[in-house]
Amino acid sequence: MEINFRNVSFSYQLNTPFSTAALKDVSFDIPDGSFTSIVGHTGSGKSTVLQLIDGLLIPEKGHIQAGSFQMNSGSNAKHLKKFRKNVGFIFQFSENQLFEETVEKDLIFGPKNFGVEEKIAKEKARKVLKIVNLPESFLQKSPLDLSGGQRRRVAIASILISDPQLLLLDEPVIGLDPGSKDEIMNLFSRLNQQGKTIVMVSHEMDDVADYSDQIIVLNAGRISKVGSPEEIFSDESYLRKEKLRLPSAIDFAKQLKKVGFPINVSIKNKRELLREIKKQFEIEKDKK
Amino acid sequence: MNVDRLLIGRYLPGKTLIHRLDPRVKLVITLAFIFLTFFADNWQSNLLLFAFIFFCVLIAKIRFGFFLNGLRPMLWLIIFTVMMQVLFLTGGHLYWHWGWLTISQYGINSGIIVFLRFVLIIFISTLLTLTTSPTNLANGLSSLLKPLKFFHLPIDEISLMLALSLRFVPTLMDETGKIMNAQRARGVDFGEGNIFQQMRSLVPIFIPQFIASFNRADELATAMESRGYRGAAKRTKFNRLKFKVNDWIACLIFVFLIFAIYFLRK
Repeated sequence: MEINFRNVSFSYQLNTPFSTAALKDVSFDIPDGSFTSIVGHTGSGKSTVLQLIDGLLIPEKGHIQAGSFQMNSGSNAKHLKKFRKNVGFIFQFSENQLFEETVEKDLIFGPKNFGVEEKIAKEKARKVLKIVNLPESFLQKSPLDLSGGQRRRVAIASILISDPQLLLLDEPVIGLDPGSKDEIMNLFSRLNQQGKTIVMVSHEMDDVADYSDQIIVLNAGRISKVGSPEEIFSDESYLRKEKLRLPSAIDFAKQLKKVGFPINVSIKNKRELLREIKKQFEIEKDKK
Repeated sequence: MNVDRLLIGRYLPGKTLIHRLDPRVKLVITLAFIFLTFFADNWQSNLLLFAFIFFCVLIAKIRFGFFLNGLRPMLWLIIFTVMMQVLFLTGGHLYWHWGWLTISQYGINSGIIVFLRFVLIIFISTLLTLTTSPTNLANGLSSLLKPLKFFHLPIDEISLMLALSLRFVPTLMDETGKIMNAQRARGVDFGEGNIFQQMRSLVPIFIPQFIASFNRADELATAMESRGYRGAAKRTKFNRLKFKVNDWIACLIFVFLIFAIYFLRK
């Protein structure tokens, strides 16, 4: 699903003295099938962008297009069910949204709202649990009996069950253990390769560098830069200015170069770093 | 449903004279003012009370639109009460009647008085909450309740409960907003369908909210205990309440107001 923002502004609590501008004149494009990351400081408007895409917020000015769905300041926030059926939104600490007695009931909550038959929804629930790597026996458990990480997986499954074409991720792996983090990020990456568009808000520069093909940098509600990970992460003084950390793979490559390890190509993520180091060792071996 | 719109209990930070008044003074004056509105039975006394409020709002530098917003949630109650007064009270000149319903001079008069009373009460309480931070409000209240210790009421515990609940109102509102968004994204339409469907659609909000609140209460208790909080121990305060010159002046002005109302009323 392609997304276009044209001169979008948004303020929270408009027309009250508490009014704060969250986005100012923001324009960007997210191509269909891309994995786009939105980064920036706390309060830069990242989460606001996600909520605007899903129609949870209505723009104050400007125009938003998401797939065939259009929105501007005059749009009504209701009757968006048909659109949201195709959009999955995984919120920060999404495990807090579970409310049903059993995992199964929670999983089929979304599909039922979107008018899917209960039998089909239950069948889907069984499948989706496998995707997030939880045993089928969990279906009849209460969400309250699960650990935080397991509940997060159930919450993610409850979104994936509707098979959305667009996935909005707000810090999806925050607070998970490293193993689960990688596993879930790989899951998203797989879904992206299957053609789903993914928009992710994250502070984790390693994930941003490893998975995304486009990065949008926000600063105090304005677009600071839109570009590929190479473009964004190659300019160190810019990163420092935006208070963004260098991804550890790029940093590691830099340190290696400094001590004389021959890396010639520019490294943009963990995979490339590993490949490059391996290549160098193989060259060394061949020499001997 | 829009959580952001709720203004009750909102605090607008500021440094004006009204903001800096002792919360006890503000609480007592607010209560006394509400009491006073019941004695204002003619236009002169009501005018004076309104003048007092405008004066305070001016000093507090708060936009007037805020106070009108405060009226909105009470609108139906006000209309209902005023209509009761107008339609059922008889006396004086009779303008119109139909069965039990009458519109008379007395009815209209008392309808207007009741309306003004509502507006005054809402304005003064809005002013109190807009200019006093929840912590200060709780501090003031517990200080005022202190004499009840004599009757073995656990005032310290009550005031702690009060302070905590006020403190967590914005947190809970935030969280409700987040959970609502999460369920909306899963296809819930709030505020649609008949009343039973609307009530049903609240279940996915309330249950996660309850769970989160209980968890938070538990964590809060642990955090307080680990920092040495004991209910029975005598607590000292970082910000101690102290009467200043301004507070005495405010009290004095209010005493004048009481006397003025006493002389102005019928």
